[in-house]
Amino acid sequence: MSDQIRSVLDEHGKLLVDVTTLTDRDDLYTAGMTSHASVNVMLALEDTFDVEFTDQMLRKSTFASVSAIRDALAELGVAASAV
Amino acid sequence: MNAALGIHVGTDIESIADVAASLDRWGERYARRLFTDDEIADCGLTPSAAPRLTARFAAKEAVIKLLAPGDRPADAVPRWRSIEVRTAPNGAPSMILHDEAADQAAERGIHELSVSLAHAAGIGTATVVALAQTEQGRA
Repeated sequence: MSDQIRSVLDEHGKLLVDVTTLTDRDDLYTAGMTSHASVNVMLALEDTFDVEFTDQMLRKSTFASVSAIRDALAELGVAASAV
Repeated sequence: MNAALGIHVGTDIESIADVAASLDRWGERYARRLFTDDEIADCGLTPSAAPRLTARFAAKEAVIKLLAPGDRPADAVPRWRSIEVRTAPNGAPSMILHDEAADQAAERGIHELSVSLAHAAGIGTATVVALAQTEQGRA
């Protein structure tokens, strides 16, 4: 569920705006998320969805938007219905 | 073709408290996603390592800025672990680039990087300067 992604972003993303006001494609870094906060987002997503991001995904662009995160989770095998 | 030297600069600033909080919450799992084995060996993973790790994370971000990935596809942004700070026995830091970070630096004619790290008053910061060989007249 995108709701779960947004919940993680709300807790760890250090966004400067309410996450509910962002579209799936809005740039999270423009919305205030720091590169370092994106690492916490990544680790919290791993816990939430019981996955491990691959080495190739360990770059800030993987976490640049809700849709980018959803795509990355789908690549890791998280079912679309769960994302 | 004539060649000239150009200078690229990247700088970044990070919160030590943020890194300390992440170390406390996620531990080694957090550190291994950002830092190389050598960086972890240099700094350790105890709470007292947070200032040094913060400055190293700032150095990675400074290099990402320096390589100006804004004009590249999003998936070309280098991974944090492809950018490494090494520490000489005398404490002097230097930058080592691996994989895509090294490739991107080579594409830009960058053949030398110099880094300065600092941490105090709750922040870690790094400035990286690169010398790049460019076609003359092209900045």
